[in-house]
Amino acid sequence: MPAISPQEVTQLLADWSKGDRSALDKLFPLVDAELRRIARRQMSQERPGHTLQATALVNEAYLKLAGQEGFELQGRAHFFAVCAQVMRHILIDHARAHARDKRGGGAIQVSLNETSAIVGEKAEDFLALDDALRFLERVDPQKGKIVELRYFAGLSIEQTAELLNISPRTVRREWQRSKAWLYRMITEGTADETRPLAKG
Amino acid sequence: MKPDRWRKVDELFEAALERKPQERAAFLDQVCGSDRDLRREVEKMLQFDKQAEDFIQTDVFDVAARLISYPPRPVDTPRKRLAPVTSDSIDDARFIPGDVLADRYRIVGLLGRGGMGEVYRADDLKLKQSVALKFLPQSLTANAAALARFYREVSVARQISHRHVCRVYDIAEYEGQHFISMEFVRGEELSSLLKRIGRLPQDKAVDVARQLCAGLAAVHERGVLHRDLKPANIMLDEHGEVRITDFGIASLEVDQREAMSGTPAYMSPEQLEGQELTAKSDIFSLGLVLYEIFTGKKAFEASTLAELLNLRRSDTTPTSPSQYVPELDPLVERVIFRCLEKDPAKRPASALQVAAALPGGDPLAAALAAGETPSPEMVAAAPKQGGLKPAVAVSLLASVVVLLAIIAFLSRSTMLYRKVPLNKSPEVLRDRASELVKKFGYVAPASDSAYGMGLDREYLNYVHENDPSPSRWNKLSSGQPAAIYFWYRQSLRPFDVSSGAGVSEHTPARDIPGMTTLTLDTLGRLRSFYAVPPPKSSGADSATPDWSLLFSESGLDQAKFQPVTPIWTPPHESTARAAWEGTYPDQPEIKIHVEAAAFEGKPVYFEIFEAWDQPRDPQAYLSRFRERALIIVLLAVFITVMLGSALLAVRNLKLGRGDRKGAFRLAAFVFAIFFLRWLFTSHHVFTIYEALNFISSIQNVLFWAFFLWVVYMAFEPFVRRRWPHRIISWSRLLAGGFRDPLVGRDILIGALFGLGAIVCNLYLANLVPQWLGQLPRIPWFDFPATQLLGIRSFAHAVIQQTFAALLQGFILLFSLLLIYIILRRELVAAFALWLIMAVTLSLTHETAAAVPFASVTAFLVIWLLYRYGLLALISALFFLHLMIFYPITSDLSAWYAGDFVLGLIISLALVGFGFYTSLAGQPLFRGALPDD
Repeated sequence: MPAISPQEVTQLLADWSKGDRSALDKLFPLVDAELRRIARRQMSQERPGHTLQATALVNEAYLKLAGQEGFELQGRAHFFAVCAQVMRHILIDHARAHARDKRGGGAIQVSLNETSAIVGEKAEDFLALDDALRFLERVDPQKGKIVELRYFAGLSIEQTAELLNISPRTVRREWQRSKAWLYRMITEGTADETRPLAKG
Repeated sequence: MKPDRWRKVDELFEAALERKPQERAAFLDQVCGSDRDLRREVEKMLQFDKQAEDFIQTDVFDVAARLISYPPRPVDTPRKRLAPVTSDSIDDARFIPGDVLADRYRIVGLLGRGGMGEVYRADDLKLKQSVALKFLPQSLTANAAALARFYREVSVARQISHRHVCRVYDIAEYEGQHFISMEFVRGEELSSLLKRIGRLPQDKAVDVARQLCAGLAAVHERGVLHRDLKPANIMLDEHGEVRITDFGIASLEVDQREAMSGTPAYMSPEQLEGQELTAKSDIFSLGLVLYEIFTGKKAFEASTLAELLNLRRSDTTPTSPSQYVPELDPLVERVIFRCLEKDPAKRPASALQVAAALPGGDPLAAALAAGETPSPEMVAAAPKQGGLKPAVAVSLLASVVVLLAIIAFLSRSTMLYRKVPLNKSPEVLRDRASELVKKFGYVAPASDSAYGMGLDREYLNYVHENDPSPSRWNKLSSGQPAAIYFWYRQSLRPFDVSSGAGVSEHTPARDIPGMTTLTLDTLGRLRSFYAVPPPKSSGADSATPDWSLLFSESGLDQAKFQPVTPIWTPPHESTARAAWEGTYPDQPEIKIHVEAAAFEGKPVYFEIFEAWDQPRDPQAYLSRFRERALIIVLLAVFITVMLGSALLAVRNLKLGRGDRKGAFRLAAFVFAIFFLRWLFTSHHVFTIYEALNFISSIQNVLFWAFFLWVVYMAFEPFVRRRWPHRIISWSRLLAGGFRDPLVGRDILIGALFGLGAIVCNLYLANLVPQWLGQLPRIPWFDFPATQLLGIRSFAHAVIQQTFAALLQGFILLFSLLLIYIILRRELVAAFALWLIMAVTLSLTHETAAAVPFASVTAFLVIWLLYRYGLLALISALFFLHLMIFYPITSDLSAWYAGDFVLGLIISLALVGFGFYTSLAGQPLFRGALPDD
């Protein structure tokens, strides 16, 4: 892993918030590596089935990458947004790999939703969720953002609201409807002319 | 769907969500108008909203972590260096989420993989519950014998229902794979908690330890061993409650080596040696778990298995927990080391004992929590302290002394023996009686004699019914007619005491020639005389006897009597009869009829009849409803109790529940006091009758000892199971804990209540109606000691008093239990028992005015039992019986005061003992007097 100082992480976050897309590209591999490392370490310590705290994981990655002091909330909030995107990428990568592997005969286990009976816990369903989320992002970017932060970064309603600078009430309502839309698209499929292909 | 169409639907969807469900249809009618398609879309969204409730709620990082840690083998991403592929890969899982097994269980996810096999979380589709499914390794399912053992184990394990034990539901088979369905516990394993936070804070640790003990005890109670107790098999559910999982299952390990590779760190020495396991083996494992909970360290730490086994097989003892945690309670360290004894016999006998030994451990609470009956030793060892504060103890003692003084003082206006002139001692009266017998011509030396006191109830009833004056009982002081009288018997041949009943005025029968019986009033005046004439007439002197002797000895003036025709049949043959009518010199209003008879010149019969002396109707027996009802109830209760307790005792013996030691001690005590009573109070003679007397008495003694044993064996276990706190002090006393403060406290409090009950039931019930203007009631005449006088009467009294207190204490406690079993509510049962007792007591009083006092007395007794338990009740009953067995008096110069004084000394000694022990060594006066 290329060495990077906390100051650089801060700078990259600041650049990204000003609209510099290349800053995100530089942040991405750092965060990705750190998240994977932490997750792996956790998994080797705990027996399978032990729940990882999403926010705790991201916090740890953040503190590792950004150092322990001198960070304003905005940087931290952006970092969560980065993490959410990174997590989503990681998951999709693996789900694709698993899906391919399964077609080759191996079984996989992705426990996406323990209580949902209809959305399967298969990699294909996870990919379907990603598809649905892409569609949602296209027609309603705010909903897409909310889902990304809530689901992939494990943020609470209040944290999401703070980050997006909207009221918690809005987040709650949007989140509710997003879930219904995603749920519908996954169970029914998004079979109409605007549906984006899985690999666009 | 086009984006603008989508936005329109979303907008209406949002608006509809804002409205109440019942208003939505109308809303959509209005906004959608004729666009049925739009309306359908929105309705569909509302439908999906309901279903999506729990959608994507889970922690996505969990999923991510899994994916990252266990990547699929052929990965075409550049991150091949990531996690090493382990044999534990989730790809080895037999089932994937969504699979439905046996048409019933839908797999939700893999929870873990133990030494035995995989554990899945699944939904039970039939019962709509989450369950955990534990799959068994193929090595087991292939082995028929092991499988059979496993089924047996499960059949027992599924009966265990305890809040600290994870429930086993069923065992099933799916495509040749066996699995158990168990309760799904939402929570965390103790092992992972300990890994995260190290040791638990001490109070939390004690709490967890206690729950663990309760759960393990419940498992053991069913005869199941856990065999693999370790932090990984202990769950803490979402409420922080302990759940023991996987019990008994470790027994199924078929491959010993595999078993060893499981968790040897938590195995007992005997387990490591491959010896047979007992509950003590689980206790050892429990000790290791406790060690870890309290210190956060493993007792035996080793990096490899071989090292661990070496460590365990050597005599190394674990580091003292207090070295890790200096502030650890020494009790904890002690109990951990006791559990870790190499010799199973030295370990605590049960998980409950472990719980009891923990700080603040209440073995009773632990036993009750485990749904188990505490043993008598545990009851006695309950941590209940009875020490009283000096101020409380002193005021209790003072109240007892004050109550005793009140009781002695009030005896003057209530007690019959305080109203009758009891100036002459029984010894004086006896001498006069034997003089009289000689005077009447029976000079042959008697070889046996007996005497005692009797009561003329008919006289009292007569006055009660016929004399309306408030001072009606004052005339009892003239002594004639006698309410209390003295009787004397003598015989030329020793009395026949073979019945074991001793000698009284009427038994044995007056049937031996030369046997004489006479009664005197308490001032020594003749009341009656009976002699058995010789069997054969001598034909000698048949002159008219000198009746005047009889008159003068009776204190009557024959000149004032009119001869009449005899009407009362003498009990024996006579050759001359006479009768007179007249009055008593002191009480001319009482008409008397005097009968006399003689046989060949010697008087054989003399008796004074008053108006109340009527021939007894042999059929009139039990004519009074109250007496009849009382006796029928008592008999019914007695028979039911006898039969019921015999059956229960047999059952308890079979189940090993009864307190054999306690019951034996109790029976031995009763045997001893009854034997002493017989020895002291029976009429002993130096003839063969004595042997028969002994045999009949022993029968009696044995019966009561055995009866108490049976009753105690029958009911005590139920009390111990439900209300162990009511018999703590009793159990301690029975176990020889005489110096226990709780025993002392209960005796002291019992004394207070017992004396209070006397004041209430005896004095107030009698005196208050009188103070309120009612006619004074018949003085309290229950005075059995009059039958036996001197030291013998005292021995009799104290033994009767003790036994009656014991017996009645048990009867009340066991009645309360029976009523509780029927009514199910403790307070209601206490109320019912109070009602029964109040009614019974009220019936013994002759007047309705006494009902409130009887009720209060009953309340005192029942409340004492309810609040303070058996020993306090027995103590109260012991003191309550002072009034029945002792002549209570404030006139300490009376000849009968000796008994009372002795009884008082014993009572005060007991109270003093209670006072002293209840202080538990506290100084009575702490430090200096308060500063001025």
